[in-house]
Amino acid sequence: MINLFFKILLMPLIALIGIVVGLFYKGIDRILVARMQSRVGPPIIQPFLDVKKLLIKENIVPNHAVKWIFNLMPVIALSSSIVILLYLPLGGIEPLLEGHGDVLLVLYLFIFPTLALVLGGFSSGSPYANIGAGREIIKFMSYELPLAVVVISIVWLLSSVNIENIFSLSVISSNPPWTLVGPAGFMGLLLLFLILLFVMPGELGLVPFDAPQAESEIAGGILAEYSGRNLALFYLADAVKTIAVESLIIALFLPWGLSKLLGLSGEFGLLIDTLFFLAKLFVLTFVGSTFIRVAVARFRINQVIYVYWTHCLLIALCGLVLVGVDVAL
Amino acid sequence: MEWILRTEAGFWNPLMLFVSLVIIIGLVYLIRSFGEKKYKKGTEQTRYFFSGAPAPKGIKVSDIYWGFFVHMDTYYKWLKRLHTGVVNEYVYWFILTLTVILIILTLGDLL
Amino acid sequence: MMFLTEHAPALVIAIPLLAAFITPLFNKVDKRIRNLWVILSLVFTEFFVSILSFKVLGSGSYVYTLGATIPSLTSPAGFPVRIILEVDAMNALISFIALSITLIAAIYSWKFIEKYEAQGKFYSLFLLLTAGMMGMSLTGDFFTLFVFLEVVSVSSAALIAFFRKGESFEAAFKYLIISAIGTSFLLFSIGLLYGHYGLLNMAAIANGVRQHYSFLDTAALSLFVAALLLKSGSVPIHMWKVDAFQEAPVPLIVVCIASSLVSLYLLFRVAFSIFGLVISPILGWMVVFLGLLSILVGVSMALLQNNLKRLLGYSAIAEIGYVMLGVGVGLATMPEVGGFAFKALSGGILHIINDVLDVGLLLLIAGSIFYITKKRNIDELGGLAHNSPSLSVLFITGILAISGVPPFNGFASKLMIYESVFYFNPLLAILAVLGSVLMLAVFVKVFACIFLGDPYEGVIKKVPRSMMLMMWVLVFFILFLGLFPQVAIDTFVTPAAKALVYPNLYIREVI
Repeated sequence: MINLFFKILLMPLIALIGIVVGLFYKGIDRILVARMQSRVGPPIIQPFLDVKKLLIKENIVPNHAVKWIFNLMPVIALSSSIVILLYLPLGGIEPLLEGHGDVLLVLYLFIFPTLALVLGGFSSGSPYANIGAGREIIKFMSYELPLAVVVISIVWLLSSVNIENIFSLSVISSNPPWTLVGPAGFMGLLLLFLILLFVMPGELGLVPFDAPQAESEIAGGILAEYSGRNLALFYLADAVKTIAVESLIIALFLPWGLSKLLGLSGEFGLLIDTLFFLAKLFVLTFVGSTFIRVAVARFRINQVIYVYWTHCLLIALCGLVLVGVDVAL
Repeated sequence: MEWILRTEAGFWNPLMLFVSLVIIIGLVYLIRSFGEKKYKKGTEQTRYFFSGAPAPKGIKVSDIYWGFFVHMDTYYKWLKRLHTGVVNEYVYWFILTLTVILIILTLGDLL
Repeated sequence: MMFLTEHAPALVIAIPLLAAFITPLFNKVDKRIRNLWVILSLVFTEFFVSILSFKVLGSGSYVYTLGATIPSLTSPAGFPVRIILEVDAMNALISFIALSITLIAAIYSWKFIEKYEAQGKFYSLFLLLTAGMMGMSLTGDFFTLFVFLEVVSVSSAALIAFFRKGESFEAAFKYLIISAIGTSFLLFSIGLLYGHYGLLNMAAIANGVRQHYSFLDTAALSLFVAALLLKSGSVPIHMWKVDAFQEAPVPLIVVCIASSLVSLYLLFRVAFSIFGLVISPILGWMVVFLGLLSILVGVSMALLQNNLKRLLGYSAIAEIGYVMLGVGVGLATMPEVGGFAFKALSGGILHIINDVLDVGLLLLIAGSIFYITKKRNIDELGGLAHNSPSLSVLFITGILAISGVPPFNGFASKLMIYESVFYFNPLLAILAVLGSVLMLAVFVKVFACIFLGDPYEGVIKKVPRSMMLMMWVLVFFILFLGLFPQVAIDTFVTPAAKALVYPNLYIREVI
């Protein structure tokens, strides 16, 4: 009972940490993109200033919008992104709500921010928002398939070893899949990791998969009619969701901590683990978000489906087959 | 009372999710309350943005999945051809299914 | 009181049957008295089904012989004679679910069909349909099964044509042809079994099958499976279901979904309890394959539809696919159903409950939308969230529940199914997750079309309070099952799954 109370007290703390770290990494991302495009770029604390600016602006609700849905959706988007963080292992410690939810729950909780964005878009009463929201659902349908293949392949691989509760995230992060396979499975796991790096920009709405929020085509798309504190909440939701997606990728594929390697323990080991986790987040942000964003252009929406359901699915299935061959041997 | 649903390989506690959602939604409303509540109603600002023009007619919300249908065109042509609405074809499907089940079960017994 | 609990199975079938024939008399008197009579008889039947369920959950299966001196006198001369109703945990669960949703549909239809003609006949046939469904779910005898299946088919066909337009007659005609073909093949299969064993009682035939299995029994089994798959509407013989649903009144569609699930239950009863000890795993894998196909085809076709009732018909087919997936995995591992397979079986049975609740809620909302706007095509609607925000809240709950999003009830059963079937083949879990995601996409489009957008320009009536109350009742059960799934599983689902998995117990009750 005390344990429960303690967990409830820690939830706002994790929320705050998630928001701060998310905005910080957003700032790093922006300045790196700018430098790679030969610009100077904003200061690293720019996202914090952005949120502050947005909170000062007026919160305009369009005439024909369904008011209660319009105002509720940003709240749902940010809350669900934060709640996902409570189920993921951050910085080498166990998930806060360990024992109460597993990886399939996290997979389904990722529906909520997207759904909130889509319903918010549809309730804006703007034609741009309608198109953007439709594209967002199609993109969401498309990337869920390779994501499901990767997650279930990892769990299936773990089921060949006799452990209890293989869907639990603390079990998954304490058994890195690379150690359980031979050479064929290693290739398969590399392919699956590559697919997750493709799914990440899709989930976060970054180029090349940002058709729903295409600034040049549909004037901001889903968020065209949002402003003020509602838009600030969506901005924060985006930042927290980045951290959530990257933590999931780290938990599945890169779960090692440095403290065991260096033989440290206690608070100092925890600090080293947290710093290593932040470094891993940085690497993933750079590869999945910054680098791809400056390198390629945007896909059209039917190309998005093509990429996810043909290329990514085939690669993911090859990965699954290679892992399966390894398990059978 | 048992709160946690346990399957063979995982667990799920809906009450903890509900409690955490309530707490976090409260926190988010707190953040939201720092923002500006008022806005000028009934002015040009509250019309939807379409560069001043009225919204185009003829685009229905039910068409939002056209990208998906364009991509899966061959699949949907085949699927629509199957669902004709003629009862005779439904009966043919039934006989076909029956035959296939009979063959499969007989083979299953022999092997 | 002892008298009532002792004769509960027979009363559950007899009360709606009797009430169905007395309803036309009340119809001549007054409308409200007739409606009250219908609802009262259904409440009484519900009372008896609850007594029966408590008794079965408490003290094991209950066998009732119609017309014997004491109810458990099944075999006075060494083999079973008379009509025997064998009620174990699975039977009780299915009859309780079917009857509860029928009661909700009956209260809903009070206001829904108020302005149409021939209401007395509607209610009379409705009660007949209920009696048939109860008979189908409680029976332990093949010929009684055939009779009640015919009762269900004929009353449904008559009720589908309730609106008496050209399309309604066409839909009813299609339904009648398809059910007639299905029941004929079922009769053929019963004839084969009777010819082989000389008995019609399910437990007695199960006893014979486990001793003298031959090719004749394989033929009978395949005919049974095909006929019952036809009645429950699984791919590839699902098309009639959507055409029939398109024209039927909404309360009837809800009861038809319950009767498809009762047919699916009968398939499981035949496959598990009668043939469970002798079949090869290939039957189970075939059911799994057809289940996956149902999920994918149902969801793909639902994405295309613009007619709300057709769309819900395709979603119902997809949800039946999930049940077949879960229970099929359990069937494939008979007779030694271990940890993962047992959980898959329990997930499938829990999904039966969730399917009825979720699709029922969405159908009732669709009916309310038709009631207030008289339109069926989602292109012609729009912006209803401005007029009735409570309907949009209910619809969002229905969408989230049917897609299996936490913390609603769909997630609990789908979690059990995913986390058990992945063990046998990861592709099953992957395609099931895809089906669930696509289902969400289907309903988000419907929600955006109907409820969001510019305010609705036509004339809108208010949704009557009795209809709203029924929808809130369903939402209450959705939330309850979503927040306390393990309680429901321990109380009803695990005994039901155990009743299916041990056919020897089923046989021993009667013989």
